[in-house]
Amino acid sequence: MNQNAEVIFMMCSHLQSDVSVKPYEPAEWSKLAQILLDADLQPSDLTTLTDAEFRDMYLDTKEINRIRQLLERGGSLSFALEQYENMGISIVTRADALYPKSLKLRLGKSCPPLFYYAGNLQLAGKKAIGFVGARGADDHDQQFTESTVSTVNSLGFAVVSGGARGVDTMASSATIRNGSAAISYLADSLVKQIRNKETISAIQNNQLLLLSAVKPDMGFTAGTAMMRNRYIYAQSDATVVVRSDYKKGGTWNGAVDCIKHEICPVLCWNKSEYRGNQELIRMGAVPIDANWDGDLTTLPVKEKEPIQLTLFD
Amino acid sequence: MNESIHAEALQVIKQLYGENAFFREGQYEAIEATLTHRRTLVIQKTGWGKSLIYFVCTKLQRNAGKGMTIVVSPLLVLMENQIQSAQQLGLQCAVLNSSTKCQREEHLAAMRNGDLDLILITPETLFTDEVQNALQQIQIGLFVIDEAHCISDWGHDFRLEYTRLNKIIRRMPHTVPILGTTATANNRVIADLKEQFGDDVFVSRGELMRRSLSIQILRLATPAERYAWILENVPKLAGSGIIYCLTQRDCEHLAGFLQENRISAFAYHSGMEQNDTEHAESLLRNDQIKVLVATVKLGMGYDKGNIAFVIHYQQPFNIVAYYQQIGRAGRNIDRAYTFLMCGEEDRNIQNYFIETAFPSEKEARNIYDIIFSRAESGISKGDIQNQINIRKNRAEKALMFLQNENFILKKGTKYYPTLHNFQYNREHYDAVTQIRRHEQQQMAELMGTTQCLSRFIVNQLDDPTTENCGICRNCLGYPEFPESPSQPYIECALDYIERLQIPIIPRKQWANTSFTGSIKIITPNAEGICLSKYGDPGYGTLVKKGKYGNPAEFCEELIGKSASVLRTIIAEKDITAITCVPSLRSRIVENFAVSLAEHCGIPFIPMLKKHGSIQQKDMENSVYQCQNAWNSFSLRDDIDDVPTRIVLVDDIIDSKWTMTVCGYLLTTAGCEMVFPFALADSSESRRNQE
Repeated sequence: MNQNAEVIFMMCSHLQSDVSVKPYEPAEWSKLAQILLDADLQPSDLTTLTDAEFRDMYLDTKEINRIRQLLERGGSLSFALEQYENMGISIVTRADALYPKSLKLRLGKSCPPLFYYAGNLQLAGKKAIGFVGARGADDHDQQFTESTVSTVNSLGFAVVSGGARGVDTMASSATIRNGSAAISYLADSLVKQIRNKETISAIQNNQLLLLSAVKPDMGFTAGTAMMRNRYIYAQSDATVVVRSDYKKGGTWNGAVDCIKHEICPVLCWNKSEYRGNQELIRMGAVPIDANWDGDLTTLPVKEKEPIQLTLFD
Repeated sequence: MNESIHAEALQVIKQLYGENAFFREGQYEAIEATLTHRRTLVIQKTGWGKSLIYFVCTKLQRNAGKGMTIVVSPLLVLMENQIQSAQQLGLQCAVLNSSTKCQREEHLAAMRNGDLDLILITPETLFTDEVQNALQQIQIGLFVIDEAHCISDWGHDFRLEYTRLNKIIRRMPHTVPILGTTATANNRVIADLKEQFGDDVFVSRGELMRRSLSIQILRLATPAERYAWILENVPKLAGSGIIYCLTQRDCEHLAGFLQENRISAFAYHSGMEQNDTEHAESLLRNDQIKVLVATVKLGMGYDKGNIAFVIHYQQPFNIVAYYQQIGRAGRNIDRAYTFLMCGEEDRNIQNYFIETAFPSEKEARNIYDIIFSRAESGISKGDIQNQINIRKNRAEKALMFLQNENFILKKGTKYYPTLHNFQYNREHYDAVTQIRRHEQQQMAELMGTTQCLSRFIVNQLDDPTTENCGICRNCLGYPEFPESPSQPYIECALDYIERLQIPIIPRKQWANTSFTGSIKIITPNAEGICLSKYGDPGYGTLVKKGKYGNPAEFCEELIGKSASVLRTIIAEKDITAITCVPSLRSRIVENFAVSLAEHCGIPFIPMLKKHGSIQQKDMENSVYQCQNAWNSFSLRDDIDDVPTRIVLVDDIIDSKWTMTVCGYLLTTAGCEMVFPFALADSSESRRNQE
């Protein structure tokens, strides 16, 4: 880990159970990072700044103490990290070269300061198609998912999903069976996921990358699941909605959020029985069916202003 | 020089040693490096004052409002003078090791509250769940690795804790200073440590020669000669000391010999109960015994200022270990004597440990595959052994290896695969083995050198001094102590060694076979006797000769000796008959048992029969051995009269499952007591290094 990464880890990690001092949340960290940037400083400089220098950056005593306390955690955090590394879980921060680039480009300051991950990070550099959909997917959904996954695999795309039951698992299992790669942005329970034999094999074969912005033993919460959807869209060159409820559920909210913020092109299975799908198409999602050829060049892509990146962004 | 650190540090040592206090060469530099440079390695000989570095650093860190100091050390206790220093500085210190379990909660709470300034902790204790959980809430201001050479190359120690410590160091952020201290490191070890500590390492390195230690080398091939030399010469040495042996068994035997000859001696090794080792160690500490006969368990960090002599009954594996061990002597006294013996068996023992250090690729792969196949549920050590025919200690070695390499992890009692791909890095293991061979060679050269012995040793540790110690055998030009023992002592030793017998501790629980399940054995055998260790000088060699001679038979000497041992027991225990473990391959055991019965004047009664089966010695672990024994033996149909108390004879024992199953069958026939007797023990279990 470089020194900037070490500091991001100490400032933002939730690894320790003790909560006498609150780690920085992504938005808070982005704000602080901007303050540092404006002062021509880097995260590692936090370890050497004097109180006076902090105050020059308009940080109050409470905040200065919080920073100092968080930076005192380094020693004990390395014990926590060692335990995870023994399992095969590591961390990657915004200050690391291997941090998923497409997230930085598409989410800018709102991308998380660090991910816990298992598997080969290089997979995040591949071109990829996202797959989202309801947990309660049926055989038809499965057929559509598997044939579409095969189509994109044959064009050299990896598959991005959320690692949940239903469409997520169908998509990532299919891509692994096809010998292609899968990237899963988990909303919870990274530690549990890696106990599964198929998961272990896929990771050992360099076919699977699991990422989690919440600590590896964290259970499910709706809030983190929502944040997680953004990472799937941001990682993908385009995302396929297999099956969405109407005006409820994570799939719906995630797709609407993506269309609204133009994170990536949204493709949607044009199935007349699925009202959610139909509504998403009405809102701008591109309708596809099982015969879709995987061609992304015809999709409407809006030019977005490139986000300026710095060393530790 | 950083003026403010210097002024503050100087203030601290004045507080300790008075107004005229000053730093010894290199001490201040190490302190400043630790507090600024962040990664510091101190390689200085015993007595230089390594602990002063971390005491002063702790004081300065705490003054600056930083977190506490953690010192990871295999040390048994905080030395008296260390406690004193700490108190004078107003530092709150505590020790956490396995023997302070009851105080552990209290200490951990104090750590969490920030009430402790410095904690000394053993690597084993550091990685207990309890301490790991507590660590999450502790601010660490300084991390110290005492005896840092231990983490240099995991191949050396094969201890999981040191491998993990190594990973912690690599993970420790730059904001936490790390200080490694050791008295023993050559360039290779230092290069290794530098690699682990990171790019920017400050190395403090001083001269290593200890001018209070005199060294004499003794070439005494047989155990009897070495026993005799020790018996003859230890009483001439003032004060108390340590004798190092390579195996637990050697410790037991030698300590027994000395006790029998009125020299107060205790054994000290990992095979003993913790209470007993603590007791033995405190006896030495308080000068209540002459000598502790120890394995390397009594090694690093053992601090007693007035150890007057160290004798090596066998050669250690390398110069690093040797220097470390003789370094125990002569800390606070002007002259201490050390003797390095070289026996005929040393090389074999060394080779055994070198060759079995790593599991074979097949062993490692087989065990990994089983663990992988049970990825979700996990699998216990016992279940692994049920599934493959592998020796218990080989299985343990392979499990340790797989954990060290991070391919598996242990949670509770079960093993799980990690995400890391299994790879057998043969080149690396071969390289480690090569290094060990080279080190073995260096030891051989030490035995033969005509140069100053101290200088030879520190030169090998890459201290380039050209000075001679002036007091070793080679510097003096004559031996201060005789180079061989006199005849009466040799006879005394021979007499003892001939009488050495090994108890056959009965098995009390069945292995988990389909016949038995792992339940208690209701009528276990009595504790029996085994005459020798297979292949050892004396009877052990006679057994080997008899077994593979042509014709195969055990000589009169073995029969005579066995009879003399058994006659007393037969009388004491009211035994009325002898029987033997039957064999289809040869009559050697039966013939022996018949002669033995004649000599003892009680009848030989054949009670058991053997069915064709695979040889027991091909069975590698308990479950397989027990199962095979069950398949191989049954009671004869023609027994008329069942004796109530009987001797059960076999030639060579290993797992003891044959004795256990045969004994059990005899009790089902009506025997009340079965007393096992064997000529030799071929198990490796007591060949334990620590």
